Order: sequence, then C-alpha cells, then structure tokens
Amino acid sequence: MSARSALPRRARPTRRAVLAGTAAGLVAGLSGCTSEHDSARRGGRHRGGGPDVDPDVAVASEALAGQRAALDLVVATQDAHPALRRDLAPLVGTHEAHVKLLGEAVPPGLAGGATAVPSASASPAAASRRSSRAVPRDPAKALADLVASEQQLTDATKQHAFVAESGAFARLLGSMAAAAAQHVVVLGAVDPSRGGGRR
Amino acid sequence: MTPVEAMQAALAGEHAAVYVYGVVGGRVSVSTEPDLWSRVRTAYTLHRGRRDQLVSMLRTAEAEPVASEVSYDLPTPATSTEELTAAALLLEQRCSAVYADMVGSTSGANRQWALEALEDAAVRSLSFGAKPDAFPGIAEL
Repeated sequence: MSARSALPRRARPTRRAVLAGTAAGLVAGLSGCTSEHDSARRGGRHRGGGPDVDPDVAVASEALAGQRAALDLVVATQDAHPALRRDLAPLVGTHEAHVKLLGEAVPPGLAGGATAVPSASASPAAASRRSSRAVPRDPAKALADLVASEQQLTDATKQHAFVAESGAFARLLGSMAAAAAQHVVVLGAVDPSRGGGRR
Repeated sequence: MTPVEAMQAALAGEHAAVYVYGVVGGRVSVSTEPDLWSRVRTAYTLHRGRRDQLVSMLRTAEAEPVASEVSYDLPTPATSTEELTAAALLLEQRCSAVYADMVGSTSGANRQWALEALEDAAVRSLSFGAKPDAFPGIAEL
C-alpha cells in the first residue's frame, strides 16, 4: 500500500491543497474542488463543506473540529487544575499534532482550514464552545469529563476513518482514533487527588 | 496492498502473536507474576480469536489463509519479567502496524474490524509498558 497520498487520486479542477509540514510524505495532497463561497455554503452535504467539496476534505474538516474541541478541553483543564498539568501534557502534544496534520489537509477558506479562524478565535461558534466547556472544580469530575471527551473523540474518529474514501487517509484517522483510545486509559490511571484545582 | 493482502499480513501477525504469547505465557510464573500472567493469558486468548476471525474473513473473500510458521524468533532472550514484557509490547506494536495498514487497504465491515483491532492493540500496548503515542501503528509519523 502506498502511504504517499492520503487523499483521493482523482484530480479536481479548481483547487489543490498541498499538505506540508509533518504531513509531507504521508499525506501528499488533499485535492478538493472548492469555490470562493464554500464557507458561505456550509450546511450542504457535509458539515464544513459545500456540495462541491471532496468528501474526504469534509471528513478532515469534521475531524479537525473534533480534535480542536478535545484540545481546548484538555488545555482548559490544565488551566483549572495546575496539579494535573504534567499528567495531561502528553494529551496536549498528541492533539496538537493531530490538529496540525488535519489543519494542513483542509484548504484555507473552508471551515476549520489552516488559515481560517484559529481555535481561540472570537467567532461565536468558538466562544460558545468554550463556554460550554466549563471545567468542574472537583478534579475527579474534571478528569471524568476528559475521559468522556476522549471516548467521544475515539468513536467519532473511527467513524471518520470508516467513511474516508482514501485508504491512506483512513489509516491516518484510524491511528488518531487509537491515540484517543489510549488517552481514555491513561486518564483512568491519573490520581485526581494530585489535582487540587483552583478553589 | 489489496484487501486480501492486508488481511493475510494481519493473519501472519496474529500467527506470530499466538505463538509468542504461548511461549511467553509458559515462562511467566502465575505465582510470582500473577498480574503479568493474567495480562498475557488475556492477550493470548484475544489474539487466538482474532486469528480465527481473520481465517474466516479470508475464506469469505475466497482466499487461502496463510499458514503459521513452525516457530518464531522471540525479539529478546525473553526469560526475565522485563524481557517477557518487552516481547509482548513489541508484538502489540507490530499488530498495531498491520492493523493500521489493514484499515487503509480495506473498506466496509473489514475496515471496521481492523479499526477495532488497531484500537485494541494500541491500548493493550500500554499495559505492557508503552507510552501513549500520537500515531499508533504508523511508524513514519
């Protein structure tokens, strides 16, 4: 199996987004046909992509949103519970790597694309996401929320891998799902009494 | 890699896993290492089941399942607890890799099956001392 291209080989006429950075070599290019108005036409066939967008680009866009939400919650938990910071550091590193890779796969201008609004933006969607991500003061409850978040991410990412058209992209998403599943187990071993939190 | 090739590679990996877990299980003392013994026994049972499932999946695909080798080299001398644990860890990491490949080379129910197997191998590797990995089963990342 070639790991060169994680994206469908069929060339789309109007746009070719080339993945770079960490993705280079594995994800050679995510080609999607996008127009100037893609972001305005969201809500079509796929959340995050208009009807002309390559289906795998739409999958990447959804996966990216999920990774960003998971990352936001881990960072918010670190902020609320400094004593847990070290235990949660590996999760931050992994989610950041996934966000970077997926961000490079989503063309600029498309929802969640690399040059679109950053995670901590002032967009209403990001703001409401943060506000809904209040971290419990009880470190055990905060950890339980993280376990639920990572489990949800595992399931969603497996579903994305299942529907991806490109085999190489499916392989990448399957690995990301397995990484989130590891987080669920790792979090279960964290001692919440070490996280005093802000009282 | 065709779907059948990917499933054959996974089956070859499971043949090796069943062999090595069998050897490792025989070397772990149930009285002095009950926890490791239990983990190895669980892994052995699971890999044997997965091997049998792959044989069935390949027959469904009208392919002749690859046979196991007569024996397999253990990656370490594998006598001490550390060596036996390392052997199990290496196996799970190899299984993660073949299942990641299988995810990429199959579709539908077979891909779904490979996704679950990849997840299980990645999680099981933690119980044998692996650190969390950002890209389990993908060596180039």
